[in-house]
Amino acid sequence: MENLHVRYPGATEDVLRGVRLSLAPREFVAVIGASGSGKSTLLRAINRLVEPSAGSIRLGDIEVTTLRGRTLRQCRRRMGMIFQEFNLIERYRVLDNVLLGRVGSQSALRALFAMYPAAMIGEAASLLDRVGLGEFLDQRVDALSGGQRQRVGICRALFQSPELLLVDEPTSSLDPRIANDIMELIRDLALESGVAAICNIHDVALARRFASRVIALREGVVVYDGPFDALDETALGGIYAVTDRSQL
Amino acid sequence: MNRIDVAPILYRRRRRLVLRFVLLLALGAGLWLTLQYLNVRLERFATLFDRLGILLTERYYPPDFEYILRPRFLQSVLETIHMALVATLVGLLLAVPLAWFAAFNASPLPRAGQAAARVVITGARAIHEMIWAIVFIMVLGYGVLAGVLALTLGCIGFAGKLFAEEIESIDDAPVEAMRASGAGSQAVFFFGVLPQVRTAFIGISIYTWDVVFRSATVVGFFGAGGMGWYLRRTADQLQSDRVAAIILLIAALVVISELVSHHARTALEGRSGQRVLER
Repeated sequence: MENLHVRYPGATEDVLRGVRLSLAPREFVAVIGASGSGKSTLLRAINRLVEPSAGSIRLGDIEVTTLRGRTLRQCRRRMGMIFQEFNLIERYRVLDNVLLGRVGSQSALRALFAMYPAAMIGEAASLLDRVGLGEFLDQRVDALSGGQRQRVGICRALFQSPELLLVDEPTSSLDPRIANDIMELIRDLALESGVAAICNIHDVALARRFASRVIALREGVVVYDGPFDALDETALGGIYAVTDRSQL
Repeated sequence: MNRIDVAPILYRRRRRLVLRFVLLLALGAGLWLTLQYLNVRLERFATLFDRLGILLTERYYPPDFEYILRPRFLQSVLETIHMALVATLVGLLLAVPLAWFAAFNASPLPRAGQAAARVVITGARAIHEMIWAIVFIMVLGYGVLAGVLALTLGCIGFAGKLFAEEIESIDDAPVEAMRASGAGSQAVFFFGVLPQVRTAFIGISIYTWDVVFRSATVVGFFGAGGMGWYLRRTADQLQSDRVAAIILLIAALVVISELVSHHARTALEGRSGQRVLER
């Protein structure tokens, strides 16, 4: 990502200002920063759910910012996204929600009638079993708990076989114990699949526990990019604009 | 402790009260002026029910039920039901994609496609089915086809608007997830939008059937097929007993249709209610 700027239509100021960063394969990076610092916009700009106003994003050898239509959709399939509010189809069963991760790569007719090959269904079922949802394949998603729903969301993203995982506040709607389990699961599955992951997170302690590298955003600018060890409380205070250490 | 000055609060409350009173007064005055403009003589209401009673007992009673049991008339009743059925099915099938294109949050062609779909839906709704029936009779001649086309347009206008409003009120989160996974616009619609509006669409479709069926009983009045034609002919020939029988039959058919719709809707709501309890 080079000199990335994002300005929302009608706004007078950029939400992201000259962001520059790169991710290596299998790297697990946490993005921290106060609310409104541009963390969610950063992730949504990478898969172009939000349009960058200037700058460059490259996924391998592809320039993402210039893609349109079919090529953009193909590029999005290489990036799995995990959402804060899970963003599942509530009326669908667990297995069907995971299969939707590959609906874009199916032919129109197969997609319309949700006709997936048996091998693909088996693969989705195995993935759900891996995250402890093997008994819930035929359960409607709206009957699950928050933690279980997020596991379905994780499976859907990984079922795309992505090269990059975009993880947006995956634990904000969960209690601390479940939040820890979910972060552990995301990190382990990302490592197992050899996928790079960029994870927005509010909880600094949780981020410190699971990420090898941290990127800090303040008012749309990257103010820190490096290992957690070098990030002391004074620096954190600057990132979150707090003077009282107990607030961190 | 700071004491709150209540005088400005009381002033604002009194001002709101006066404004409401003035608004009510203005509405009353507007209604009175409209009645004056239309030259409506309210004193005639006093004799309305006496005159209606005399008319019904002397001219419309007893209804000629033997007439509505004749094979040719019964055939026109069947024709009416079939017209309503075809118009509802075709109209709903066209209204779904039109609503998708017209909805501001889900349209696959947000500019041209959205504008075109809105023009079709609004155009179909702006003109009453009866006027469409007259237009199609002028173009295609008397018969069922004109009636079916008129009813189909009515269905598109009615259901298209309600479908589009349902789509516009969906939760964008599943749609965003579908787009993020690289799904095309059809897949986003079928898997991100439709599951959220399915129950509402079924309810709207049943209600649309009610409306179309009611209209189907009268489009024939202009020669667009169905039992409406018999209503016009008997009315023109001042055969009031037959008119009474036909009107009673229309009322009975509409009531039966609404009872069936009501049962279908209750069954659906019952199922969704049970699902809510399962959570």
